[in-house]
Amino acid sequence: MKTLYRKLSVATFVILLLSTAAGFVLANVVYYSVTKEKLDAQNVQLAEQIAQTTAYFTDDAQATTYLQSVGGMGYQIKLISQRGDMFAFGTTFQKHTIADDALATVFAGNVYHGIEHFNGKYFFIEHFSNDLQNTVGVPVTYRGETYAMFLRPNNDMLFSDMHMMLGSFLVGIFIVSLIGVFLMTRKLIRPITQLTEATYAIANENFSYTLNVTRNDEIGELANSFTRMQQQLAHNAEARKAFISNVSHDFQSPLMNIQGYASLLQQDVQGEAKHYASIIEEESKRLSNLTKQLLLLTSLEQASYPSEHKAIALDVQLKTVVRHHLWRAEEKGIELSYELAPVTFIGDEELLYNAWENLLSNAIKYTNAGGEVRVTLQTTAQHITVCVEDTGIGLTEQQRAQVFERFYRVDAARKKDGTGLGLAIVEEVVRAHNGIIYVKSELGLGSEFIVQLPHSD
Amino acid sequence: MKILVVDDDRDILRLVSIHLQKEGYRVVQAESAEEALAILEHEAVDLVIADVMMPNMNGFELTEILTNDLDIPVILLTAKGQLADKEQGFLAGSDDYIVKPFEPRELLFRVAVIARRLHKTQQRIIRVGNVRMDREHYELTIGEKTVILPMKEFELLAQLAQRAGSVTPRSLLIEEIWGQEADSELTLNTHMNRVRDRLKKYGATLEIQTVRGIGYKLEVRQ
Repeated sequence: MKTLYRKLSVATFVILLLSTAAGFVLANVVYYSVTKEKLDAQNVQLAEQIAQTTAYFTDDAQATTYLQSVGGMGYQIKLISQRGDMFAFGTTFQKHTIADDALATVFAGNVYHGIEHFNGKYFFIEHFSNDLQNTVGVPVTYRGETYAMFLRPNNDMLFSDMHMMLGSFLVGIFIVSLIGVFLMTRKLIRPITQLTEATYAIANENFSYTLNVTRNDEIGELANSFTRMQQQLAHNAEARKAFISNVSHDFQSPLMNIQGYASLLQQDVQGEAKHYASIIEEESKRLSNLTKQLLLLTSLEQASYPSEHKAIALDVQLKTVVRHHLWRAEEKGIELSYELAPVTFIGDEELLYNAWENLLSNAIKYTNAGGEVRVTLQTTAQHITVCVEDTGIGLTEQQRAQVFERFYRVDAARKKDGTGLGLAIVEEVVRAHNGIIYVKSELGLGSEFIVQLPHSD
Repeated sequence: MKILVVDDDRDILRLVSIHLQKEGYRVVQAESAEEALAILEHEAVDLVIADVMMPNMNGFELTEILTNDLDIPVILLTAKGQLADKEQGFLAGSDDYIVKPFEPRELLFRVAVIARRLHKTQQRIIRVGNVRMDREHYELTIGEKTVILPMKEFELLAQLAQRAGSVTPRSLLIEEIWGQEADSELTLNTHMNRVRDRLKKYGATLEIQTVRGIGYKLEVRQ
């Protein structure tokens, strides 16, 4: 994952490099415009003083001792006679050639401003260049003769220390900057990570993830908006649930009465009246089923249907469904059996329960007395398989092709309490869980509905 | 058995009561949870059937009181079929729930389950041979496979299994399972054959032997 940490660290590193380069250039400009001149002037003053002092000596030994002591104080000196003799004092020059016109300048009685005009390869670092040309030159009159004295402060030691100092300086800056950026990024990222987690929670219909963000900036504003949105979504979800349960109750209670009294009526009357009563009962049952299924379909279809995905023990769920339909199987004299492997699946418990219920009630409905309905749950390396098998009336090839379509009813004339929605719902639910469903059937022998779900990891 | 039915919808109240009475149960009616509790102060019942959505105290709250304080089993009637409600029901302590609209036979079936639970203090699980029997759910488990037997066949096998190795008299079997119904002798033979067929079909290591003149005996095959 391309994290902000990496991006910001790289950006900081690049910025540091660029600023170091910019600083270098700036220092250079300053050196060239100001510092060089000053240094040169300082050293010229010093050189002229030394020249004056040297002029007073009349003894070679004394003069040499003097110049050597100056050298010892940290200066590099080269004394050149008009004849070309060279005398060195202090640390030797690494580069000891001097231009002819430099010599000429000094012998003519002028000052050679080597330090001011020296152009080394590394800009202001050349200030430290151990080069004879990087000196000031003054004329010295000693015992009647004119010499050219070239002088520069010996900052070798200083420079090697400068190396270390500069290096440590830069390293220190880099390290502190990177750490600082890292910490700041972390502070910035924390609310963002929280927001991401809260978003995941919402996708799972959990609207109560509290955001601990108390900043007053743009991110704080985002967090506040997000919390308001969370509340609105929670409100919507509640409203939806309340709507569904209210509609359920308001429709199903009266339908129960119609159905129940129609059934009682059939026990008290004969002939035509009995037939009429049975029609009333059947139709009300159908309306009931339809209401239940339409509500479910509506839920499924909502574009932003956040389903509550959690770990479900499928074997326990299927067992519950089977036991709940016991009474109907018992009534019809159908043998119910199951073989369930212990399997856990992450999905929407309510939707899956509805799917299993639809499959099982179909199997029982379309199987006659003495028949069998079998429910199996198996798991292989690739997927989880749920089968609902019956020895019922079966399907033709044409029926098999259409059986999952909405409002398609096999034998619409006879089974009046079907709605044609059951299997369509099952297919939607299975698909919503990334699974597939198909049917194997033989007319007169029975059908097998097979659901394949992917493993949850 | 005496059953108290609680529902604010008078028509449903009457409907349910009629069906229960036809089945032979004694029924007491209440139109609200408060009325129900008032009745229970001076009358004892074996089971309460209550609607969930009622004004003032709803079915869940009533269930909590009934289960925790009075220890009476509860079946909840709910028009809301959603899982959350069923869970809430169970958490409140209800023994079962039915979703409206329901067939009266479904309700009667569930009532019968609770009636059996109350009546008999038999052991719920019977193990014999390679067979495990769950009396509450009429389930027969052999290995990984579980079959739900028709009620009467299951009871027949259970009676024999309880006395495995000894003889169970025919008269006892008829009385326990069919009561005073006519043609019971013939029915017993038919059912016994069906049970034998099933045992063979599922590969149970059990055998039912006929002891002439007395009854039947269940043996474990080696």
